[in-house]
Amino acid sequence: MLNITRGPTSKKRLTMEWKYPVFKPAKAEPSKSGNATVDAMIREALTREAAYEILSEDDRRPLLIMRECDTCKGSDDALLSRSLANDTTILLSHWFRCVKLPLHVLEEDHPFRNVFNEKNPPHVILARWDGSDPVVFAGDQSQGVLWKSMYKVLAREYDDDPKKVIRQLQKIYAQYDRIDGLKETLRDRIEAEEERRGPRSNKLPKLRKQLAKLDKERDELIAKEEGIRNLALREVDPK
Amino acid sequence: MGAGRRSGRGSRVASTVIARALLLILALGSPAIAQSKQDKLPEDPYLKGDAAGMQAAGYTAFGSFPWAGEIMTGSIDEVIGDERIIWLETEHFRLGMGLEEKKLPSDPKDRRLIQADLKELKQRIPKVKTKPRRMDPWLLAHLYAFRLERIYAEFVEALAIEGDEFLSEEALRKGLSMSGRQHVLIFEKQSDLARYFARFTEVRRDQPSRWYFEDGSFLMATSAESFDQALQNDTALHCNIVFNQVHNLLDVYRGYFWDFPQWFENGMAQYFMRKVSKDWPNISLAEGQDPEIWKDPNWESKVRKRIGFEHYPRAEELMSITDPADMDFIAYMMSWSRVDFLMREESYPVGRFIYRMKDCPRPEGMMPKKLLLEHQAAMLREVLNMDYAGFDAAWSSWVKKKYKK
Repeated sequence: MLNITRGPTSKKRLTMEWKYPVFKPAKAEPSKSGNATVDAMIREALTREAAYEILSEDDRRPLLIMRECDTCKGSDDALLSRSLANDTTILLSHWFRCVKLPLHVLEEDHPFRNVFNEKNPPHVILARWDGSDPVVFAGDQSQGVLWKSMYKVLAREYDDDPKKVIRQLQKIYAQYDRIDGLKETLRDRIEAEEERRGPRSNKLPKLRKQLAKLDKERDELIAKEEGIRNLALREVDPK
Repeated sequence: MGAGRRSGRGSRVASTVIARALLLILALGSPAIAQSKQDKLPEDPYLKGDAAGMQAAGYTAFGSFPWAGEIMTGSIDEVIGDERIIWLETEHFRLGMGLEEKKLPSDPKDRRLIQADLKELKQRIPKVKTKPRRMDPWLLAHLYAFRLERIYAEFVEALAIEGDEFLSEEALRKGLSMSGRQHVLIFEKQSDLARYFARFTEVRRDQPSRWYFEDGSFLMATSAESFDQALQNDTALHCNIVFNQVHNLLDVYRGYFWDFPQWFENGMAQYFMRKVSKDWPNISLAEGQDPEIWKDPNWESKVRKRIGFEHYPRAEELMSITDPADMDFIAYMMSWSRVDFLMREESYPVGRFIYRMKDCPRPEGMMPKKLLLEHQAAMLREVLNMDYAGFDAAWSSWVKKKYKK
């Protein structure tokens, strides 16, 4: 396996963009307890439709829902591999609205309980924004199986071909790492020079100019990345 | 690592909420320790839920109690999941501990730090082992409760603050004995931190953050998973908490109406944090701000070299920064060093400086930067007997004597 150490730009951009929806219930009448009033919540499971409305908000991207569990050693183990590079999974996930639901979501009165209506509730669901056409996973799926399903859902939901875009993005990320490596070397040299010869060292202007050039190159790549990531969603049938 | 900025000042409506919450605390907490009858804590192997033992260990409540405003700890359990958080209240803090069991770190330096703290904790809780192989959730809860009270004690002692001086004038007028405990949430999962903020505040955050509630309560919330699991390291987490608590203590002291200029708040926070370890610098980030990567923890040497070349931000420039977005690595380092100088030289009454800074006249609405900086300059003269040039001269001369290159 090729082990790539990502630079700070890649690391920052190669993260799962999780949403953590919560339901803010209507308040009950305050109940008296001793000398004070206490905040009492009404808790009940929402309908499946209402739950998905909260999960999606105004976002019509397909959903990637992950249910947390106590047996997963890391937070995203049901989705990400601990032994293989996860860049492709994370890049694909950016075209989904990624929602993480808590450990106790399967409690009967949890507001989002009805997101899971299967007999054996899955750990990962890929679905339309309203929960329709779900593809479910137990959490032990291979990376290949997951990608195949993610690509299939994306091909259904978007006008453009994500496979081609993924290849372009991977090249951009390699460029980010190259730039960050060069920047780190330059910053170390600038700092060492300032401390050894002071701010008036005649080497500093050239080093700073090189650093500024790299910053500009990186910013241009970011703009390019954001441009090609912007896939067009297919028209959504109002339901 | 850092924490997000908090919201602005709370409204006057909050004062009645404080009164109701305090009535509950006073009714339950004196003289017996408070515990809600309907709650069932996981078994604590160290104190076994024994009220007398808990009280001797410095706890005033555990289980379910009012958290902040109208929020009870039970409300948070509903969102996070039952029996995932250990709730403890001490004289000055309310702590929600959600860490999972941890192995002791392999780094000998980190192990020694933990073992030294456990040795002190054992004096309050005899069943604590000083060299355990693992730290279970209850041990972590007791350890961090102990560390929080220690932060408070060290802060108050270092600045020669009397307990009553912490109160705002509003609280003094009302005759309250305590204007509100600090709230600390230490989650295992970043998702729990995010859900807390989504449910109980007006913002969406999933990074360690400080927060100010409208009832005057202060909060810091963090998670072991934050910063790409960096806070799984106990020393890193300890530093994160010290850094943020010092910020909160400075803000709560005599009431929160504005933020100190960045050099002072961050300098103080770094000063106390570096007493724990120099290896885990923390910074305060504005929303959306990108931190630089800092590698070398040997700030004394870096500052000393720059002083040698007269290459440092002058006091007037550094002390005028009020926005964390305007702080860079050099500013953080220099701010720490300025505070290091003031705190280590006994002739500078830093506690008095803080006291007098809080006397700054308060206009309606946001504090104008100009007014705050003028007051700061006046207090620099009145309390520390320096102007900006004098501060530069005294500090740089001290650095040349005290810091090695």
